[in-house]
Order: sequence, then structure tokens, then C-alpha cells
Amino acid sequence: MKENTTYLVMEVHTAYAVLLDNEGRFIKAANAGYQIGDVVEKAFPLKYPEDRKKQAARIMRFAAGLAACICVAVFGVYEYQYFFLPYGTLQMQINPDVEMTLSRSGRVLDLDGINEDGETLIDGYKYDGKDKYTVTDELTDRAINLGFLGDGGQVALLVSSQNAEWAESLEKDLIDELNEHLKQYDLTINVSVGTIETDVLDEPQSITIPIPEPEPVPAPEPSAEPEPVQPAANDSGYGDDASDDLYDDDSAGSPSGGDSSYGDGSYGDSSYGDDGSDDDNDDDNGWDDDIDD
Amino acid sequence: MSGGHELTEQVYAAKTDPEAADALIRQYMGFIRAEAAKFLHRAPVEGQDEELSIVLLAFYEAILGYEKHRGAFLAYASRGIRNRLIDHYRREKKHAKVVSLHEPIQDGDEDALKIDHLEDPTNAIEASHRRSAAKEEITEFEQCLEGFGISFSDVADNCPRQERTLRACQKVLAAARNHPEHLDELVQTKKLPIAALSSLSGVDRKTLERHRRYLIAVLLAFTNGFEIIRGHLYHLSETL
Repeated sequence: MKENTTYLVMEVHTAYAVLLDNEGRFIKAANAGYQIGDVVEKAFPLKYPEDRKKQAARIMRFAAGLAACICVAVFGVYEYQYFFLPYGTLQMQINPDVEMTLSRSGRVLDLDGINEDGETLIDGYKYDGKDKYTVTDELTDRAINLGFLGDGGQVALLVSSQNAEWAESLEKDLIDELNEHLKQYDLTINVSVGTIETDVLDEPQSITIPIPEPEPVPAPEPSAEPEPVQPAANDSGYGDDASDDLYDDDSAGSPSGGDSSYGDGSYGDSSYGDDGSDDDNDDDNGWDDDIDD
Repeated sequence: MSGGHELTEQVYAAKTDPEAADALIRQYMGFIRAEAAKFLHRAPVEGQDEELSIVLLAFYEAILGYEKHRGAFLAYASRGIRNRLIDHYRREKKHAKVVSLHEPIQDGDEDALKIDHLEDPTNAIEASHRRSAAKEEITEFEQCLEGFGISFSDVADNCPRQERTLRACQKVLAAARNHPEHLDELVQTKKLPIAALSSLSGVDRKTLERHRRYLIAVLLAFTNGFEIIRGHLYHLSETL
């Protein structure tokens, strides 16, 4: 409705009047004492019952649409999480070792080889959009075909998730499914939960082990009489061990009963020994004995 | 019970017949005034209290919307009147600061209304002449429409209420004005040349058929002889 709209009164009834506005609309409106030919500026248009129904239907449609949008948004987020967000991992050990990243729905989102054989096993394998059961079965088939798994072999499955109940249930289902799948082969393969304890190293490694040198065994020495050591010609004997022993023996009977100052080197270095009086002194050792007596 | 049954029949007759509706409304004018008085807390004054005209319109809306399964008609109408008045008051809240011209003022010893003290810038005689001329033209236009078996009430009921449909009908009118032979054909044959106008305007044939009575009235207004009505449709002329 444009501004400054005026209404020309076309027809008058007890309860309403038919008005013509400037845009060519004929409307029924409240008759506020109008006469035919009047031009009025304000009108209270009639509300048709069918318009009310249409409006109610429109509101219902809008509300239903809004509710549908909210539902789609809520369930869309839930479904996205259910199908596309990682929820847990499945480790499959044959030995090749592979790890699948799973959504809650069981869709395989990612596939990694944990060791070299695992990478060989998944090389060229398309897991996009496949279910956990399909991928597990197909990887087992590939392992058999590539010679990784044979009669008496073992497959260990380990599911890890924050939801322990989900993980446990999935492990059981996977084992049942894989056992069922392996029935087609004439092989005895043990499918278990957990990991395979193996001594086989995942990767070739080099270890340096040091070998110690053998120690020579010493030969037994023959026992011999120790030879007396002759002092040198010019050696006075003072200060040597032998002369010390000798001197100590002599001085054992000294009245001091210990190491007297006579046995000191200073005594031996005295000028008395330089003029040959040393021998006399040694020989004349009896004056000490005389004193003792 | 027979009174209620009779009233229901009257209401159903009034749904399609404006004269019967007028008669029913006149018959129940006491009820209508009482409903207006409930809100005004006084007896409504005809021609002065807007509420009375709103209540009358609400009663007519109740006639149009009434179905037997909705219970007694008067209780239904009473609810409709109450809701309509509440809507009206809510809408009028925006103009709460507007002072009524019919507000009484103290002028010496005598009670008077504000409107009595305002100068009317319009020339009453000129306005009366203009209204008479308009009324004459409208009566002539009404008679022309009667030749098509259409009343103004029919036209109002058939008028597009959605903006998009109204624009489509205006395109049809523009096409007819550009090809006046179709307006002449309408007057002579008293039939709307739907196929020709549909192809000329590009408007769907079904839209033309659905709003046939309205289109006849508008096209007729743009034939010779209805200058006052055409002059009133200046917004429409701007669009075309």
C-alpha cells in the first residue's frame, strides 16, 4: 500500500463499504458513516475468512519448514559425526600390521600400514566408503594371496575407542564376521582379540655387539734366594735400607729403646766418617755395649 | 432451538447475498451495540465512535466465516467481535498520542467539541458538488457493471489480495489500453477477451479467469466516460 493512498467510496452497506484505492483495488472496509462518492484516507479493511485460513496455513507451513530445517540441522550434524568423524581404531595384526580409523557407523576413514609388510598389504588397496567388515575381509584375502597368511596362521584384531562398550562389541562382531569369511578357505586360521606376541622385529635393525679382548694368563715365577746387594765402592752405606737394618739391629740394645738420633742421616753425614774413622767407629761399637753393661 | 436453526439459515443466506447480510445486521443491531458498549463502557454513538463501525464489520466477518460445527452463531460472533476490537486497539496504540477531534473542550459555560473550533479548509459547497458528480459517475459505472451481472461487492470479493496477482492484473490492463480494440470488444460483447489479453500481456490464462470480474470492472473504468474514477486511479496510471 503506497503512502497518501485515498479511497473512493463506491458502495455502502450497513456493515461495510466498498472502497476503491488509487492502485485499483476494490476493498470491503468498515463503514464509518460513509456516503457514495466520498474520498477517505483511512480504512479498516475486511478480513476474509479464507485469508485467515490461508494465513494460518502459511504460519503452519513456515513452522513446519522451520522445524524441518532444525531437524535437518540437528540430525545432519549427528549424521556427519556418525559417518565422517573418527570414533575408534582397529588394529589388524597378521603380521603384516595395519590400522584402520573407523567412524561410529563403522565406515573406514583411513588405513595405515604399521610395518613394512602392512604397507605392502595395503598398497593399491581402495578402502574409500567401505565398511569395516568388507575391509577386514578383503585385507585378509590379500594377506592370504600375498602369502602373509597361511594354514596355522593367526589374525589378531584390537579395537580402541573411548567407548569401550562399542569397541568390545565391534571386536566380537569382527571376529564372527572374519571366521565366517575364512570358512571359504581350507585353512586353519586362528582369529583372536588382542595383539600377537612375536619375536620378529618389525623393522630390520643392526646391533653392534662388542667382543672383549682375551686377557693373557701370567706364568708362575720360580722362587729364588735374594742376593745381597753390595753397596757401591764409594757408597758409605748411610741412608741405604740394608745399612739401616744393620744399624737398627745394632741400636736395638740401646738404652733409649727406640730410634736414637745416632741413626739419623745427619749423623752419617757428619765429618767423622770422611777421614776413615767410620770403620773404627763401627768396630768400636763396643763402647755402647760397655755403657749398657 | 428452532430460533437458533433459523438464525443459522439466515447467516448462510447472508454469506452470499449482501442484502440478506444487511437485513441480518439490522436485525441484530441491538446485539452489535451491546458488544461495542462492553468495550466502550458506554453506549456507542453512530458516526462518532470508530468502535461501532469495527464491531459492525466484525459481525459481517463472523457471518462470512461461520460454520455450523462452530457452535451458536451469536457466541461465535461475540468472540470474533472481541478479537477484532483487541486487534484494532493494538493497531491504534501507535497513534495513542493523536488527539481526537471529537474530544470535548470547555468553552465558557457550554460544552463543545474540538472539531467545532477548527476551520475546515475545504469548500463545503465545492466538496458537495464534487461528491455529487462522483456519486453520479459511480452510479453509472455500477449500472454498466450490472450489465455484466456484477456488483461492486462481487468486484471487491474478486479483487486480487496478493501484490503479485495485482501486478499481473495491471499488466493485463496495460495490454488492453495499448490495444483499445479489446476494450471496445469488452463493451460490445460484454465478454472479457481472455485469450487475446493473455497472449498480449503474457499473464497466465488462469489468473485472468480467476479474476475475471475484477478485470472487467477495471477495464470498464478505462473506457470512455469515467473520468473521476480514472482520475482517482492515479497510482495505477503511474504504474501503467
